[in-house]
Amino acid sequence: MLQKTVFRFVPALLFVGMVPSAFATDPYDKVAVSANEKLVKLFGAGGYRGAESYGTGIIVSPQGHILTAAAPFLDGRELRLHLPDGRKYQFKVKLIEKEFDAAILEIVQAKKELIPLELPFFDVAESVKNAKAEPGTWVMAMSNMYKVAERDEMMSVQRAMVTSVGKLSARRGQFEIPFHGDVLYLDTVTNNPGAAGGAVINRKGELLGMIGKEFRNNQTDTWVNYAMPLSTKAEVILKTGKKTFTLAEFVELAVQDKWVKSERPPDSDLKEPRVFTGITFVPKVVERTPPYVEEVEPGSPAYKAGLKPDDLVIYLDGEPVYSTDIFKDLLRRYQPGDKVQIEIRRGDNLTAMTLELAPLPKR
Amino acid sequence: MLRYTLPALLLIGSIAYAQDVNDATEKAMKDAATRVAPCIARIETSGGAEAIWGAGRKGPEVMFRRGVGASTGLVVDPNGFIITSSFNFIGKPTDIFVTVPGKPRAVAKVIGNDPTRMLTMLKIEQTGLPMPVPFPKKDVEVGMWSIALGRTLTPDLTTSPSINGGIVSATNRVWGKAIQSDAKISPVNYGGPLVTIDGRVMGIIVPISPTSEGETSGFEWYDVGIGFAVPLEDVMRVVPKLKEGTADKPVVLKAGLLGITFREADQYTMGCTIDTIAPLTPADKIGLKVGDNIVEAEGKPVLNQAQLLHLLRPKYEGENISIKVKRGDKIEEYKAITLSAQQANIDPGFLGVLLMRDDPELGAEIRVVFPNSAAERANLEAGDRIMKVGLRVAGGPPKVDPKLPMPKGIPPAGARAFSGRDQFMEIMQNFRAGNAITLEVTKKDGKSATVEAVLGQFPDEIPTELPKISSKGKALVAPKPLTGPGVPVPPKKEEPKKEEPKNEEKKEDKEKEKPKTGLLKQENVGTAQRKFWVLVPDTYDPNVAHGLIVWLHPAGRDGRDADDMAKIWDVFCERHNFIMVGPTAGTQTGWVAGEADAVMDDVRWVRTRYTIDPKRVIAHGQGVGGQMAFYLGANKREVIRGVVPVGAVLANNPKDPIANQRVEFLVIAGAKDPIAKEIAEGPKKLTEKKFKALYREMEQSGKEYVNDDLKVFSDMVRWMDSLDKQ
Repeated sequence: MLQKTVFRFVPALLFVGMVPSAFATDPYDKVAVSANEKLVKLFGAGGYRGAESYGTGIIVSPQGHILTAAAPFLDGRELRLHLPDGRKYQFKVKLIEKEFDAAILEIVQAKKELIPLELPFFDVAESVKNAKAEPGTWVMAMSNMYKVAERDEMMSVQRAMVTSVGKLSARRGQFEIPFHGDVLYLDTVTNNPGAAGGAVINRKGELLGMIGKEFRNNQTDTWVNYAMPLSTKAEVILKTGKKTFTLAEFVELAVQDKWVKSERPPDSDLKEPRVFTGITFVPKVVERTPPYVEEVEPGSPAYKAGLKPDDLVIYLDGEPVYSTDIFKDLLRRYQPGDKVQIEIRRGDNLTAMTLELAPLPKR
Repeated sequence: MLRYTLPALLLIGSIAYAQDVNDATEKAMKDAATRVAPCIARIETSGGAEAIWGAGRKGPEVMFRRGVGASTGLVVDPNGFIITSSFNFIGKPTDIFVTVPGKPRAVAKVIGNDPTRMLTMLKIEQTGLPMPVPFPKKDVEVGMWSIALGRTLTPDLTTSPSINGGIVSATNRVWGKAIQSDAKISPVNYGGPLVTIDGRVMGIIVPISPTSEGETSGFEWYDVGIGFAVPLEDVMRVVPKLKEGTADKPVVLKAGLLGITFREADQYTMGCTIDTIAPLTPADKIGLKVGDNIVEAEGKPVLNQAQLLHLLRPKYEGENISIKVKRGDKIEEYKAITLSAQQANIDPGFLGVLLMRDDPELGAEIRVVFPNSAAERANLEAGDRIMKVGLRVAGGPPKVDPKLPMPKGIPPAGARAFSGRDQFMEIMQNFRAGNAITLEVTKKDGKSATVEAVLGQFPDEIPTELPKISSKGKALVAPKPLTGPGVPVPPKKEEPKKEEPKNEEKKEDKEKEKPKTGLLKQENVGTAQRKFWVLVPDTYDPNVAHGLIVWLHPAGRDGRDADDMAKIWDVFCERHNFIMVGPTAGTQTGWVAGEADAVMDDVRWVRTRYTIDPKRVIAHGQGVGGQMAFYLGANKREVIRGVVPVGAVLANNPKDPIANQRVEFLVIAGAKDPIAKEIAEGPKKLTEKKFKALYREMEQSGKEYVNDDLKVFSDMVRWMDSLDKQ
């Protein structure tokens, strides 16, 4: 018994002895300090129903361009920031892009002290090439959550792990989700008030992505902690048509004044789908009415695809359809002429079929 | 030794080593996820309810919305058997689909449930599925890596499952049923595996709670650093049983019980003294006795209930336990007692009488004889006085079904004397439906008679008429001591309810002289500054014990409905001797379970000032208040005798009945209430558990209060008045 105890103590002592030096020299500290040099604390005037009036930003150019989340306080006045060394500056919003839920800011210098800033910055173009994140990757999240840090104080550093890479939700519902592309789900409570716009870096200090806004997931009904990776993509609607960009490309173009804002009609204009399938579902009797087909209109897209009454729709373009409401919700994303794949249950068999969506019939 | 030095050695020296350890651990975690990934299934559902009554983040029993997303399961048999968390199906989805990585999506059926561990078994028509490698339960240690894997966040099964890293926080949690981990555990990975860093499966992730048995319990702890997993070893042990189920007849595993309750107030108080033994349970069959003190179980000494429960709670129906009890000075040993799911077929016996209350004299006078009851068949009549009651001496007529065993642990057959209704009910609670009893009666005309009756079941009908006089008006007089022949009633446990007033009365002598009546609105009572109202009929007489109706208002009606309720109830409270108390919920959205104790404080406030009949304390509520009434009925059984929820769904599976804590239910719904069907399910579940539960529907009503339907309302009032029927 005694012997066992001793054995247990010896390594424990070794641990205690080693741990301080191990941690002191652990790259975490060095990496965090270096990343902190490239982050700013943002402050606004406040007064936005429930939303905080402060945030975090990532410096993306030596001249003082800053990437952050499209937070409501950016619409207000009295915008100012604290550089890592404690200097205070005013800033203006260069542009807000809804498709990325992101904003690019610019530091405003008083005329008389107009000297180049030469700030340390994250090279986004370089980072997106090198830094990769997958489920299980250990990361650090750095932000001024709850505005704990003031002036020259360091950002809060959190250890986190990438839990998963995926979309927040496919639904453009009443409760708008902040971003529609792939995000990095994190296993630590990173998305706190004021954290949005903060940086997620890997253990080498390379920028992986930007911490998103606070968001409650409607799929699991839990709060989600996530960041938008630099490689994530968004579809932008231009006059010339749709085009897909990465977050890194957005940052580069925006800093160079070359970004053209997306012209997606606001979702409030899209209460009803603009397309026609020809499916009549069973009447909505309960909150989550399963999407069983009641009727298929002859000649309609669903009819042509071979859909029949009593079929249960389970998937629409890879997105699960849990109820008739969700089906309707998902359809709002499409335009006439789009092809969608739906998966149905007929008896105990599952079948996939393609529908070419038609314009809404005039009534 | 090796185990400890290796990591220590790795830490020695340079930065490079520290980095290597981190890199190596990160890589090992990813590899672990990859190794288990092929056995982790994604589960999707269609239809079912989105809004669930049950546990919430602020406390159990508030409403939360179940997410509509996918969930996770684990293959436990290559032939298409997937185990998952029951939480994923609380919305009662109409269709379930399961996708195992690399296989086509398949229609799944629920074929088994294990409510003791919150697990559900699904079956899909696929074979050759990959199996996980289990990690031995005995090797799970606090501090080792535990990685929670899920398939919820992305539909792409070619990618890694979601990974949440953490360590084992505790073993043997929730009465030995679960491993605790600090990995982020939430609906994102409920049903998924908790794995070691080398990719072996420790357990199945479930929300589970040490304190409550509902299907949503434990959810309130999501993402707070407390999560649980049922050891895979334990799961594999019951897989063969769960596999026997079918979609039409799912297997339900039940906890193994002895059938006893304890006398000690608290699980950690010294001692395991048997307080009650339910008839026909293992404890009853092997001959345990009330008063026995359990001192050893499974060869280990037990000092309190908690220590016993750690050994008993993990067991299923059909499994064995060995115990030693101290009876007097002797130690009795019982080896391999086969546990059963409690109270398979026990209906309490019903004679069919309502007795006059507040009568300290010997015997008790009949107020009402129920139609078609044993009492009616024995020609008992209102006005007759029952003097003695007991189990019929064997041998004599009438014939009893020989298959029905006689209850054990009760005094020998033969009529016993008693004084008043309460003592009568105490004797009667030992008998069950089918038992033959003997009654010595003094008939109305003064003649004595001995009658026999075979007890029936508690009735579904509510008496259509009740005589107004229900009390002998001597509530404050102590029952007459029993003398003479007949087995004396064992010394009664103190009725705390009747003791309480005395203490308070001393303090408030003046108040006591003339108790206040009418609608009394109380504010800032006690340290919690409680606000409630009390309705006392003007005819109140302290010598007549009054029933107490605890009104639990619907959401947003906090206390403001006092005047409305008083207007509706005033005349009935007077006619049927009821006092009403209306506690107030803390929030606009309604009641949370944590408020149960505050409600009980309000009840106590009334009891210390007025004479309350403990046999007729009723939790009555509407909407969320009805939920709260159900909750009180389940969790405050030492007080609540009747539950009348209006427009409320029974959220959780009911607990088992307790022999000496009778509680009855009258569930009311409006036929036009969209959730009427769900409400009607409640009484069925309760009946299955052998509770007496009636259901009444207001034909023309939706979500209105019961006064919308006078027929149902008067039924309800008479049901309340006849709650002490026997």
